[in-house]
Amino acid sequence: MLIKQAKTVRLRVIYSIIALIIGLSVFSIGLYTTIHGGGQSSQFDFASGFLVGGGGSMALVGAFLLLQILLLLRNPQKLQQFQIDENDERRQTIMEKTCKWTFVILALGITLASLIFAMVNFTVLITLICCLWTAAILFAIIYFFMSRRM
Amino acid sequence: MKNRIAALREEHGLTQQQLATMVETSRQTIISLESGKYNPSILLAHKIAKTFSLTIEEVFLFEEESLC
Repeated sequence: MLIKQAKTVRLRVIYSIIALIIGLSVFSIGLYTTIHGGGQSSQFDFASGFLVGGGGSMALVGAFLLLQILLLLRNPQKLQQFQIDENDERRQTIMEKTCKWTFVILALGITLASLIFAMVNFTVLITLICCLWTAAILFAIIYFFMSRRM
Repeated sequence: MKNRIAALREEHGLTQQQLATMVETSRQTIISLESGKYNPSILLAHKIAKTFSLTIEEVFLFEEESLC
């Protein structure tokens, strides 16, 4: 039944299942470390709590998206509307522009913050510069692949 | 870029939702197109023009400034 569906539906199902599996795995690891390694240090407690919270949230989102698409598969009319909305070019343009501006503002914000932290805290400065370089390298790699595709 | 979508749609007795379904897009996109806030891709422009049995140039009015 799923094989016959459009690419958008198949991708949504695959992403939901991946999110669910990763979320449940992270949640289980977090739960295990909370039960068996509690009270070691405040940093360890924070890390295990972060894994439980993050993994649980990811699993819930995955389960919600999977349930949503499974319900849509039972209603052809709503499924068609879902496919139209997913492939809507205006929506895709909005998403592209939003991503672009988010990246620009984030890069400017990190640059500004690194200028401020250059005078305040060296460790934070190095972390910010690493983030900025990672973003710049990622941008260059994605740009390279995109320019080869188009 | 200006267009005649609203006029043509009314001429053909179509609602925004009906036109949106016919060209496989959302009603919000049709609203944005009609108000001139959004310029469509060549594919969507072709679908809209084909719906009204016209050419792209007859539906979308290209201005010299936007072509430069």
